[in-house]
Amino acid sequence: MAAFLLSVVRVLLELGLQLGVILLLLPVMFWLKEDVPALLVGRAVSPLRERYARFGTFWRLTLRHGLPADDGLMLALALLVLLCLAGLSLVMPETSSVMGAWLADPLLMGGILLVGAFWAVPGLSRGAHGRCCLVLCLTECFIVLAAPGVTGLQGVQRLLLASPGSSLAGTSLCCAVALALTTSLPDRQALADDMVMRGYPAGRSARDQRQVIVGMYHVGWALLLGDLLLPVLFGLEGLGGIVGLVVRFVGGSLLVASGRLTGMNRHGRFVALLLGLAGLMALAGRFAV
Amino acid sequence: MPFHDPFMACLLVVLVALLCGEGEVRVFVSGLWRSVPLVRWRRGGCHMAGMVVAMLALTLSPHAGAVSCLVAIALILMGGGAAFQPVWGIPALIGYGLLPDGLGGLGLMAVCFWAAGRAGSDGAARLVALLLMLGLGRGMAALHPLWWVSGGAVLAGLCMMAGPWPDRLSLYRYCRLVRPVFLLGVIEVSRQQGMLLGVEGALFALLLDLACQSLAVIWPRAALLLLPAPPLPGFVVGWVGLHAALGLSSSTEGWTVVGCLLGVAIMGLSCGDGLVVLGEAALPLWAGRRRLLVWVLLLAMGLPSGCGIVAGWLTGHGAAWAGWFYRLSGGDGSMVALPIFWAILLLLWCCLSRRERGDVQDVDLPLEDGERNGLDVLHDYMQAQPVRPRGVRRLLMRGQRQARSLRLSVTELLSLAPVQEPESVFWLVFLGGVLVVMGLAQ
Repeated sequence: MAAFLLSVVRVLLELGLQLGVILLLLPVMFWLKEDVPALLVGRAVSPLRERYARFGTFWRLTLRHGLPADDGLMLALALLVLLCLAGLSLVMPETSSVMGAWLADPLLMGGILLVGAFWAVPGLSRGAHGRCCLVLCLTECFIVLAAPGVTGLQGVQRLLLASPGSSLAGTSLCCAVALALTTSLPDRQALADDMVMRGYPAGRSARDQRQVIVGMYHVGWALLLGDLLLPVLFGLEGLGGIVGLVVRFVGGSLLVASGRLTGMNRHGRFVALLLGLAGLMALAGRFAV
Repeated sequence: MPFHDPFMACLLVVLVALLCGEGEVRVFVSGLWRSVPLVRWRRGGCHMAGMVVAMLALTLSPHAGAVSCLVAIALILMGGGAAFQPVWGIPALIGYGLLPDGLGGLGLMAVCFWAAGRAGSDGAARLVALLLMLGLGRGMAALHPLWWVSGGAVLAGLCMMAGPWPDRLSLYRYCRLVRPVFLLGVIEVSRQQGMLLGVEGALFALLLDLACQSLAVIWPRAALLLLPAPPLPGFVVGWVGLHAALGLSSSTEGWTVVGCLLGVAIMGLSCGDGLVVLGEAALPLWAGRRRLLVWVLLLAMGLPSGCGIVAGWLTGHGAAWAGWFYRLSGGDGSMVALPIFWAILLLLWCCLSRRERGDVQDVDLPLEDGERNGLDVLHDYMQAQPVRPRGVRRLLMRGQRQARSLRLSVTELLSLAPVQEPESVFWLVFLGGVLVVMGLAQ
């Protein structure tokens, strides 16, 4: 019994440590995601220090006063998704096998992100969410087809390390691009318009908090895309895991940004082409074995 | 595999739960000692009789002839007479009586789909038709699973086209009916291919689906469980069904593409079902007291584990029941640790959300009219005064009135039964005669 309690405490400590690392990295991720594109365009942005200060204010307010129930649920879901998708294992590798393998399922994680987005902006068109759901389902199907019997992204990474050059990498890359083109998370402006229209989070601070939470969903989405884009970097141990996390995040946000810049998300046929390519690769890999 | 009869027992348990908890039946039972509006009382009686007849049909399932007659009676009783089309329903049921394990199951399926579609928003009638279809069509699903799945899709499409379209939601209501049919097909195909994991996963999804649907009928607020939002059981049904179908496609020959399509179809049906839930029950889901939401959350946490244990026990893996408390297995060897997810989520949620400081509008909120409890709605209709010792005379008068209303309702009930439509009486007698002749000839 004592050993069991000890292991529970150790797992909780490991999870807390991972959460701390993610919270430390979150302002950097926000900076990379929102400020760096503006900087590249040539606008003046506030420095990274400012981001840290804003996040400090957010957490202080949250922990002191608490959030309303629905915002609290959204924030808890976002943190949990980030924990699962980060695939870190700092001290105990076996914890990551639970979080990374049994929970980091693309459909589960993507579904949570979509539900959070739908909860934040209910008025957004259902068609976009439906398309995104379909692409997520197909992604899951193709990954399972290409790698039967593996669980989660950790299983994908293990399989890729065991047999490099399989069709799995190509499948997940095509799926990642297709997902990036069908993103249906509400952007900043849409969220602000919706909040003004409904007048629901009454105060200004509540609206700011909700903006930050939805921003976390965007980070989670970019991380999901990055995990699918570079599955080899998922679940590395120790400090390498943090580097892998940042690299995957940068890859995913580049994918999202390029999808938005090129305006490719209006072309449904391109998405269909990518999905068909992924399916072909998965089937080819399956029949080649 | 000792599989078939326990599955029937599970269906019977769902029916018994429905019989004990359904709102209309509760109205009927309470109407025995106090006065309720006659229309609702009669409907409750019809529902109760229909459920009993359906249970009888499920227990008599080896005798196909008697069963097809009972199915007709049950569907007529549940749907108030309009849910059963004798003109083509009787020949279809005779087909089932002749070939219960062959393609005659398609006839039964068509009848049940039609009845479920005509039932409209009456959840109990739909669920009873679905249970009858699953329990009685299982013989056909075991022999011809591909016919079962494709026939289910085609017949649902046909019934959808031919049925009335009061609104768009009525089309999405078929999602809830087709998904268990597909899951049963996946179970049988996996059993034929010898994939025990797939059988277990798909059976788990099917049981969870039926449990959630019956809970949603019994307690309308529990329709929240059917939403395909990820930590909720509705998503678990879709996810496990998807993985069971994918396990089929990734490890058997010839089912690669069909398994993939089935998986996507099951998940898509879950999403369509979510649209129905959002469309018709979004408002009463969140209005109301917080304590009820806590119950819903507990149900959402506990139901998948419970159904998983039952499914593991049914397929002979009962020894590994403890595993269901921290992970749910999909049908292809993949796992999802959803109970752990719930635990961490609740922990974080409690930490992050605001402490309860006696939120007045939450605690003192009266029961909304969204709480369609049946018994609570009844208070508006109360006609009789509560019993007071004011003398025997008043009691006698009340007794007389009750007896009169009882007699009236019995005549109404008789007039509601197929007696109202002479042609259906004729067809029923015809069916019974044919079946008797068939039984004698054997």
